[in-house]
Amino acid sequence: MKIRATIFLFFLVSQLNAQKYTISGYVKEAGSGEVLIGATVVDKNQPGNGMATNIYGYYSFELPKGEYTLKASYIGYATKEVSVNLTENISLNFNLEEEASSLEEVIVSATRSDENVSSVKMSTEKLQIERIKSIPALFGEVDIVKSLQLLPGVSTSGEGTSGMFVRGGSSDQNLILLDEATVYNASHLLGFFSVFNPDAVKNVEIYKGGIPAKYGGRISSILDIQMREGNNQEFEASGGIGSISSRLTTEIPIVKDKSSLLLSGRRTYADVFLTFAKDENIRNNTLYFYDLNTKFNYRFSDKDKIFVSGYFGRDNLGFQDLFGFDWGNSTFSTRWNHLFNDKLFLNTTLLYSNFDYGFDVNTAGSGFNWDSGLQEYNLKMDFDYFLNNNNTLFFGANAIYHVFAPAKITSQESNIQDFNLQNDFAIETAVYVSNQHTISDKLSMEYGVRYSSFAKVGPDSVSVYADGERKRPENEIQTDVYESGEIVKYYGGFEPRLGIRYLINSKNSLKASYNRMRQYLQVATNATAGFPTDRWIPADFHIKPVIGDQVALGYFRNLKNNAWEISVEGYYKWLQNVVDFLPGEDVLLNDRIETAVADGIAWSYGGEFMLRRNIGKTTGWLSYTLSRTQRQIEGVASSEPYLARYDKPHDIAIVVSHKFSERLSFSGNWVYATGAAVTFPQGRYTINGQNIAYYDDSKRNTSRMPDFHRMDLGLTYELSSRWKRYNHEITLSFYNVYNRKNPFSIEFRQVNNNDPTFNESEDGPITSTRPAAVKTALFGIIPSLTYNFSFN
Amino acid sequence: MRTHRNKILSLILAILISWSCVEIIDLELPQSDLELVIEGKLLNEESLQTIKISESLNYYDSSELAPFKDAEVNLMDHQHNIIESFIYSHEDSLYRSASPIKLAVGKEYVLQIEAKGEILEAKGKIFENATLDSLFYLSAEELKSIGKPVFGDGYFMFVNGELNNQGIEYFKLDVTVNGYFRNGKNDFTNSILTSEYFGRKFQALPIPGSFEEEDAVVLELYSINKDVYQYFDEFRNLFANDGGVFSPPPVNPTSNIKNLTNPDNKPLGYIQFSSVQRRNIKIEERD
Repeated sequence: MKIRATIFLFFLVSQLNAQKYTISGYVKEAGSGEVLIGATVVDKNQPGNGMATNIYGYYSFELPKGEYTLKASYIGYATKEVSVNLTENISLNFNLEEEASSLEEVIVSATRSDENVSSVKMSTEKLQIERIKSIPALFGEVDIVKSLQLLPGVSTSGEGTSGMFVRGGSSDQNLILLDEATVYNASHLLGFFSVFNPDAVKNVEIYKGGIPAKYGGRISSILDIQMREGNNQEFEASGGIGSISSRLTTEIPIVKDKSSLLLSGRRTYADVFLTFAKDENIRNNTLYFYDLNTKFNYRFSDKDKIFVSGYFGRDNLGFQDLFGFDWGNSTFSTRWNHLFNDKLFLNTTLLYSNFDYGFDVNTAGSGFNWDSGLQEYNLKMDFDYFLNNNNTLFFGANAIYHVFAPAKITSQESNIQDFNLQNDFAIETAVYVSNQHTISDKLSMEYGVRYSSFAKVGPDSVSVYADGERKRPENEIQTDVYESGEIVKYYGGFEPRLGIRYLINSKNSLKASYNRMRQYLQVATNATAGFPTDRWIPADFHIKPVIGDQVALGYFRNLKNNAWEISVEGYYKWLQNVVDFLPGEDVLLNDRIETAVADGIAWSYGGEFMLRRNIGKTTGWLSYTLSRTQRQIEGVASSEPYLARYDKPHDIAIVVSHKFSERLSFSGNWVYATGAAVTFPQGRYTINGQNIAYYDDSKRNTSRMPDFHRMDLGLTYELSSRWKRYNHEITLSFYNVYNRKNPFSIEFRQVNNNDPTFNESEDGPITSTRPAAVKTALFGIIPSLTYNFSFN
Repeated sequence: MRTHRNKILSLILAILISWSCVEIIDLELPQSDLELVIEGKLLNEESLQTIKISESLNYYDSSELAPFKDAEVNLMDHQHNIIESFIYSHEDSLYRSASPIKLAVGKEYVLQIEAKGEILEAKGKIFENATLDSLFYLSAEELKSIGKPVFGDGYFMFVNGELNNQGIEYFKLDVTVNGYFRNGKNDFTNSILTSEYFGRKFQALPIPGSFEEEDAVVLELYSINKDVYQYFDEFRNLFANDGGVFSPPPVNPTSNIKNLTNPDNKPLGYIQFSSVQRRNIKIEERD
């Protein structure tokens, strides 16, 4: 009897489950047709029943048969409600209208209002592009990466530079994605500007920890940037004229509601001013960079949509006819969104990334061309399976073919011999599965695993060294030759990921996460900041992939109806197989790179505090990071632990925006960080008539640069316009408003006549010489003026 | 190639420098015990060979390096048989060979120093120097007219010749103009040469620097061992290190002098074993 009852109950439950129906669709912005990422669609009476949209604006969830009022909401947009009588699976798209901006309701978060507390995600920051645009910037150039440096756990290498150091990781440990394509060198002009044109960007999200299984390939962070799709309702144009560059973006509906094209460009014009110089030597120099972004999308139906996007950017500089140097990225993404049914969503992506640089030296007797580049061909399939209201599965696979062409030198009828560094080839693959699991009202988890592998393939020649001897050319005992496609070395392993959220109540939550990451490529440099000629090297027969583990714990609290957010996070990260480059070794033209490196371990730990206000006339945040970053490498600093240069125990940022009136707004930020850990000399000596400092090679980075702090301010005034569709504003900003002379470098050298800029041919005879510490502060106070416009 | 990287950096920083501020600052620096500094050039020409041994200074001390007078210095063959003992000269604070000696091309030598109770040793071979067939110069205008522009004005010197040893060869080229040894930062950087990217025969290989009419130029080309080239190469990298984010952490150049008693206590400096050849040329006015 008991058994019969149990079977009956089972079928009853199954029957009840079977009576659930799926509601799915897209949430879009009404004005432009752009999909909204992270918008929520819920049952108005039971907000726990619902779902947030994915990065393609798609949602899907189940409800039992019945009548409902469904509510779609997104920060900054008017909530929309729709009543449905649910008797079958339905497809329901929402078009949300942008909320009229009122003085009391300025909203700057790109996420749902309680996401800080309710989401499983931690160590993740999403910045709205409008917020990024409001932050005062160097030369008025709005910079996405520099804005991220104002967040806890993200720091910079130095004044004005756009390299990122996330939770103690080096700058090559960040995976930077633009529409899912890898950007290998995300900076212009040696890192003083980043390559992302803010007018073309829709969404910026950085994962510092708790990284979902979908992502892999870098240890420290994932910076995921999505380009805008373009308005598919009506033509729109926007742009700006700044101190050093101008921008123009057009959005063209190709087929209303179905297709649009976005074209966006930015170019600096320092070279335009150079042409006015009287001095021929200056006039004939070249210096500029540009970015071009384009994106096309076409919606065949609610089930099929394609996106094609590309980025092309380049820096060019040259000394007259003598010397030219150019470098740049190009990325190309083709994506196909397909809905198999209302529960299974697939995004298939074909990606191409390229970074290359070239020298052209035309000096008498030693002229040559130098070309270098790397390419990535990537095929990805990412499935979202909305299993039920408590489980969303994410699974997929990707395969990348890497080509590294480190250097090809061609003589220009000179004594330089043609020279080719061996090209490297590798195949990187990964499969992953993860589940976003709501266990109860209080407990949610996201758990998953990624298996990544990396095969270095031929053609290749590998030096084999005598056992127990240091890897030096003189210790090579044989060279193994591998044919094209033959596997030289294979690495692979699991990367478990876990995120847990425990909701104490609707305003408080505790979160924890763990992730393991594997990184198979790294940059061969000993300098802190990136340089375009830095060489990316793959894991190979001798160099192992870097493995990084991280645990994080956090407390999250929202106050005053989600207007204020507080978060406190602690993390510990430990890395294996970290490499450092041995002093004096040439890594740029070295065919046996293993002879120039030593490997070891690294670790970092810290606490991050964030207080943020998202709603109101005054918005902004205060962030504070307390951290430590150390490394221990065999053969470096007596093989003892040493601080990374970018170790900054204290890092503070205050970011404030205030709207005085409908037309006038103010923004400002203040940053403070402990000075970089550096090595100062212990004495000096003379060799070959040259005075030089000497160092204690048994230690590294035991001294500190002076502390860094700076304040930037900006005012934006919306100008009146005769035309309804034309809006324009002017922004006046001041970088480093109190003219703090933050050190960019401290050089130890001889100084003549007590003047570090002394030039004998211009300043007369040398009367005294002495050793000194010479500080260079790169930027004093820099005012800039930017005019922005939009036509829609 | 590395010098081109520095040129790029210089150009961009020069542009940014128009907003920059450069000033002397007072920094408290760590201090350590005084280190031995050894500098020597042993040549294949009959002369009193010299070795300079001194002690380092605290960084801000602007006085001359004090000579170290209590060392024992011996030149040996590769089997450690003493060829010549060096004697300290109070006259010029150098250790000198007792009599003029000439090191033989193709032979290996050892220089051993006993100082502060430790034995230091450097080994090296005297390599045959390159053959310099001809030396000529052209003005900047002449070079421009043949499509080969140069940095700066004046005259530019070139050399034809060939290498005489197997494998990569290393050189140091010292340039003296009107009696003044060119020893600025750039001169030193440009004086260290490797044949790594050149052929066995070279045509119109540029001599670093530019010259004026009537300049009397003396070129001294030294063959050097790889370890000394490595030392100079690291030395010029340290020279170019400005302590900024584009520079690697500074480290002392790797000396070719080993400390046999206490390997971790490496001396500063180098011993150069070289063959040398000299060329004189006067820059004449061109029609």
